[in-house]
Amino acid sequence: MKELRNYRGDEGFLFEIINAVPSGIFVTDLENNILIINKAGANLVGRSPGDCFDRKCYEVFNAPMCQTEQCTCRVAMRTNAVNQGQTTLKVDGREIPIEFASRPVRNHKGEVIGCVEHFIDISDRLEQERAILKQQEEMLKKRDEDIRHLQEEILELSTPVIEVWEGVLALPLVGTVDSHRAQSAMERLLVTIERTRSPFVIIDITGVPNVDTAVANHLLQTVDAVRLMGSEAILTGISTRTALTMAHLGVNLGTINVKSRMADGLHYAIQKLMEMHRQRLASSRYLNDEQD
Amino acid sequence: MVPFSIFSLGDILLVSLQEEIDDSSVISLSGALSDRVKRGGIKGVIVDLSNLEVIDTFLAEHICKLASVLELLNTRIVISGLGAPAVVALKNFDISFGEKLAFALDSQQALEKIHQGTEGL
Repeated sequence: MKELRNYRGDEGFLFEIINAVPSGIFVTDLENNILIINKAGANLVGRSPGDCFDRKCYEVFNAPMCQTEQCTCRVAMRTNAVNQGQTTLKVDGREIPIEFASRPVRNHKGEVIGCVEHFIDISDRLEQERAILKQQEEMLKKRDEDIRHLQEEILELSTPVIEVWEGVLALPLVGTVDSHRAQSAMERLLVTIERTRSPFVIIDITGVPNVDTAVANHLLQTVDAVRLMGSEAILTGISTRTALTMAHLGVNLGTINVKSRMADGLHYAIQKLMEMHRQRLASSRYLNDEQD
Repeated sequence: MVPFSIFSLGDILLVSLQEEIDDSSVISLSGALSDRVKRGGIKGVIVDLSNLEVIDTFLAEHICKLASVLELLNTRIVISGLGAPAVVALKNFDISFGEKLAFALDSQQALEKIHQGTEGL
């Protein structure tokens, strides 16, 4: 330690220290001539320190801000403060991203006589940041996909179309009915009608806590779509509370076949189906009789 | 070649529309059907739309008109075979066939509906 203390103030020793710093340091005068540059700084741009002395800094470091008003040395000298930032050096066709900090250098009278600039290569860091960003994006994307998948699953689960009887479908609605759910339920119901050719559909709203005009409108739309398919819709499970709200809101369900319980709806549908069956038998018998 | 066919099943007419039906054909179909019904002896008309994937406002309106014309001529009309995609499209575009028109899943059910409806007559 004693020896080291003796070196203090020794110009050569100070220069050794500057050279030992792993980041780039250089000092310019007012005319942009490089007066001092350390090894790391020169190496970064592919030169030796001797190669850089007395050259203009904008020749050695070819950055976009060189020789403009944004030149970090000029800004630092103008504002008389530390100027920090990031930029890209262009050396032999390579681009090196750096982070820099400049501060004006003063003589003993306090006049600005130059500028010292300190910079580090941040290409590794940027690379890492980019990798992390990419990873994060991928994670977000995957999470979004998962959420969407789950939502679809829930949607599918929450509006099942059940074949409760030969020719009778049931659509038990549970929970809040928004337009998205109503649409998906309707589409699935119609597809099932097309496939099973069921003449009756029971829409049960026992599990729907709130029926406002929007929900009633969705129900009316679904019932009308079922009618267009050629089936008959039966609405069941309207609670007293729901009935009161609907009456209060003036929802008109005049054209819809309403039954109180799902059992009643099923009863009605089966009765109708039997009637249809009987009629079919009667007409075929009638045809057979005619043939005889 | 007309994009529709009319089959006679005794006292019932079965009309099948093809996918490529255009507006002028719809009008000539209405005319031809009304003429046939006016000659008498027709209890009901089944319009089968199972070949159509998309139903536009024009066709819907004309079918409604045809229905009211046939009603005045004491003939029932039943639309059959509307597919799920067609119905979803109709609902999305808010195209209505009116409240009175009858629909059936297929031509057989349509036949039954016509018989049912005319029993009391």
